[in-house]
Amino acid sequence: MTINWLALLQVTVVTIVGATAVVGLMSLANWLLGTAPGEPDEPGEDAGHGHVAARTRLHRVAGYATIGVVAAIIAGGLYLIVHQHVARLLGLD
Amino acid sequence: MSIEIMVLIVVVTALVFDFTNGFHDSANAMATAVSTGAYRPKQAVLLAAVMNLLGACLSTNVAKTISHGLVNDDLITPQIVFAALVGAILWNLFTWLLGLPSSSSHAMFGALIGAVLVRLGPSAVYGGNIISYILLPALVAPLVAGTASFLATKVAYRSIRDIPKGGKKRFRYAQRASSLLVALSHGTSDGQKTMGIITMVLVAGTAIDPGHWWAAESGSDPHWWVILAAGFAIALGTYSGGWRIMRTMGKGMADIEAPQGFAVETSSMTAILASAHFGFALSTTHVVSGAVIGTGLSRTPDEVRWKTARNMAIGWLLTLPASALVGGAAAFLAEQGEYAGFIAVLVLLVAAALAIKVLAGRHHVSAENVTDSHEVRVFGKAAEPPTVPPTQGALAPVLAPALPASTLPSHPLAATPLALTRLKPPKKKRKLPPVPDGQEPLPGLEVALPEDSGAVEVTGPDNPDPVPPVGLLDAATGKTLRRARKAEDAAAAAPSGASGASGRNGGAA
Repeated sequence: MTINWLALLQVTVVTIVGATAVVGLMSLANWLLGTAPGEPDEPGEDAGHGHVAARTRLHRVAGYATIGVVAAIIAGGLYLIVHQHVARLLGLD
Repeated sequence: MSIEIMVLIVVVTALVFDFTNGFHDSANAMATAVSTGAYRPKQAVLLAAVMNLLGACLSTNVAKTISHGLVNDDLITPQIVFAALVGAILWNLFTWLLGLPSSSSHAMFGALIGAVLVRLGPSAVYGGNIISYILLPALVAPLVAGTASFLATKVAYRSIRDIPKGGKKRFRYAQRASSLLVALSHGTSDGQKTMGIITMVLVAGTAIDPGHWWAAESGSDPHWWVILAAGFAIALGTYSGGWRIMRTMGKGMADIEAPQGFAVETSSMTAILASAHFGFALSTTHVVSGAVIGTGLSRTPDEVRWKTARNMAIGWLLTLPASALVGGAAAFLAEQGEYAGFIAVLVLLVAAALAIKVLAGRHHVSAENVTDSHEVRVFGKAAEPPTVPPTQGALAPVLAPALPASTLPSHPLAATPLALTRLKPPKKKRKLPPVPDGQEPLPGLEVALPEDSGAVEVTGPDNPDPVPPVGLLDAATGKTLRRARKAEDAAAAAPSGASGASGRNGGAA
């Protein structure tokens, strides 16, 4: 019987840290977009004026940038899945 | 029996196992997405099927061994693989009937161990590896994914606490992407499993009788048709739904909201990818189940339905011995006679599958009702709709003025238990039976008396709109007696005066 304890530890740490980080980033993006001070209630409404509009823009830019990071991480996961198998297919593994 | 026919039967049985694997595990990727409304049920299984097909075709790293060192692969014959497949298929179907998520891989391993024990004896089974390849991963997977999901859910709900409008919508969008990745990774791992089984059968068949077009050598890549067949079998299985398990996974263990769904899928995806990368294989089913419990616990322990979780844990514990028992019995029976035993096992498999299908039909779970309840029932009477007295409930505004309280108790129909339920509007009108002789319709009402029932539908002239999507059911049988007419039909058919009954029933005038 051989148990790869190191692999088990690595899986545990990567899963907990990775999942919490991804969900944390998505939560941050959600918070940024959801708490924008001039966020209109309906599409087409005025998003505020002056510094309110500026802060709203800032929230939006930061929020969508964070969503971009989450998307990139998910795309990275997809790449990992595809790459592992394509590499094996091509004999590069 | 010639080797060609035997190989053909085993290959078809392997594809059937792949199909059951697909519908058994479609819930892993899509249950939370369906329960939170990120995808509609049919949409979810279609996307999961496509991703499973893609995943299966991506992966050609066929395991050199189908048993991961649990048994001596060199001694495996087509008959042993066949018996193992029978055991795994039956366990998959049985757990599907109960709505229990369980690992198809563990079912396969258990059945294989049982078949090898019967045919080759204990020396061909490497017992020590059972702990490292089955028991430990089954313990670790839910703990790791559950912990990750627990923490991720805490973080997600912390963020939406300050958002005035709730802020759950964006998690639903994110869930659409994460669930697809879980489906893709499932296809890569489980599609490959069946390819390995089929290739192993072809190798064993070639060893017995070489020179066929399907011949394969040990350690070779699978034929292109094996990859395609396995990919389509798992995709078809996924598309067929596995709604019973999806209900348990999405609603049965905990009621899940969009942030929780995203946390579950992200945790599952990370665990599956990490375990594949570091070479510590975890079952997708165990990972997702653990993540669902973790997210339920994160909000409050009361969120988790512990009875369902307990049943699932018992199912996991029983998977290995139960499938080993069936696999062993199938192997014993299959070796009786030259091919009579083989055919007997095949017939028994078909009979058992049909019996399970019939049992499942008694409490049917489908795309239409998968999120309606958290319970998957097998035995007992069909769930009855809530009984509503005629003068209460949704039709009260129609019935109350039309049926005076003094009229109802004296009328023979008043004792009939009625239940009201929402139905789709009728596609075509059905002709109503006439009112029986001697039966007077209630004054000012249109009364339809369906055959073999005591239930009525009433439409008062003062209430021309009888609420079209509402029909009447017999509470005792649950059978639909009659659907309500559309409002325009009611208006057209209703007499101008209040004194006469409608002529729709002929004798009612």
